[in-house]
Amino acid sequence: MGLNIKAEIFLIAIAIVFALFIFRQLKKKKLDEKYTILWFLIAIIIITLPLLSPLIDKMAYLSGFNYPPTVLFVVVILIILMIILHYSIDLTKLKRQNHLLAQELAIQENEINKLRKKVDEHYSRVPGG
Amino acid sequence: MNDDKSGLNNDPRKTIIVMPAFNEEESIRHTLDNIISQNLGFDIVVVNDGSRDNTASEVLKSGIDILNLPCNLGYGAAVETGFRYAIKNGYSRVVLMDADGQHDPKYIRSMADAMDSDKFDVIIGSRFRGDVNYTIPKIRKLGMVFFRNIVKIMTKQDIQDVTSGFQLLNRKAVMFLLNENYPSDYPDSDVIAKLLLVGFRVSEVPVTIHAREKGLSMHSSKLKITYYIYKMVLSLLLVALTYRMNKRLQKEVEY
Repeated sequence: MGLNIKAEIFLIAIAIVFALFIFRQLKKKKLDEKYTILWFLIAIIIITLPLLSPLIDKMAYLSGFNYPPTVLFVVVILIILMIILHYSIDLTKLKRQNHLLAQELAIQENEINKLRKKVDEHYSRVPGG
Repeated sequence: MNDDKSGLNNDPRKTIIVMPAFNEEESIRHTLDNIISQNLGFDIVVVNDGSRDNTASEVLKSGIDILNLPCNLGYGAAVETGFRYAIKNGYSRVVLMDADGQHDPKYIRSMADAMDSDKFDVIIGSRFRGDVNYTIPKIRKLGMVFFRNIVKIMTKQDIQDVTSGFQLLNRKAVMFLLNENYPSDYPDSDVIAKLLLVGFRVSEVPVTIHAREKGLSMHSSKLKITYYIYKMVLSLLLVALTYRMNKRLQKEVEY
């Protein structure tokens, strides 16, 4: 699966635009540092894709795929699925924390209202207080 | 299960009625007045699960305590909120009942008596052991029988109404459920199965269920029913795998 110079330049251009976009999001504080690791890694993989082609050919040969690009697609799809699964797990965790926060908030609000009522009652009983 | 060391269990004054409510402005006043007229001497707290109608102001008019969730979290999470509140405020028992008037408060007394006399941890207000005042839709009844039998196979105990939302739980059971990640949607047969497998004593008291007064039902669309069945089968399987009728676990869970 040889790539010519044109394709390599194309991939590098995509990777640079991608990396710049990620960096911009990071700068705007729209993306957590933790999550940039993954995306920069993906940018690096895009750049090194041409270098990986002998490896992909070998993997195709070993796994019995007749058409080497299939291996590339299968690997990429699996990685993407793993990333999505990771987000589902993260989402579940966030939902739990969110529930706990909402529940505690409701309980705290109830307590504040009760205290406020007590304070009001106290001051209404003490003239000039 | 051993008795609570604090001795709170036998103090009826420390019972709280937890009532999750989502868009129940039309029926909640009537339901609350009905409970108040029973003179049970129990506290009541309504968990307003992010209602978009006037549920909160209707509750305030009755002078009942309210916990306002900032957004709609689902029935289970609303129940969990009530549990947290009850534990935090030192209640020894929690009565769980719906806001729509389905559950008649006159049965709370007999449920409490059943808990007192036989040292049960959980009492379920059972629709099948009493007279049914309304016709349960066939599909729903089929589902109830199906899950009842699964629980029976899992726990070797025949609880007839595993999906009832009318329950009385003692502090120990409530604390256990809080520590176990109470399901945020549709908690019913999986919770009962879990309680039974861990060794809590569960019993039923016959109650008559009234038809819903107003508003929407919890289980309505086909999609929701499908999700409900999927979720329940999955979580029952999970409970079965986690607590394989293991006596060893019973000793570990002591509060």
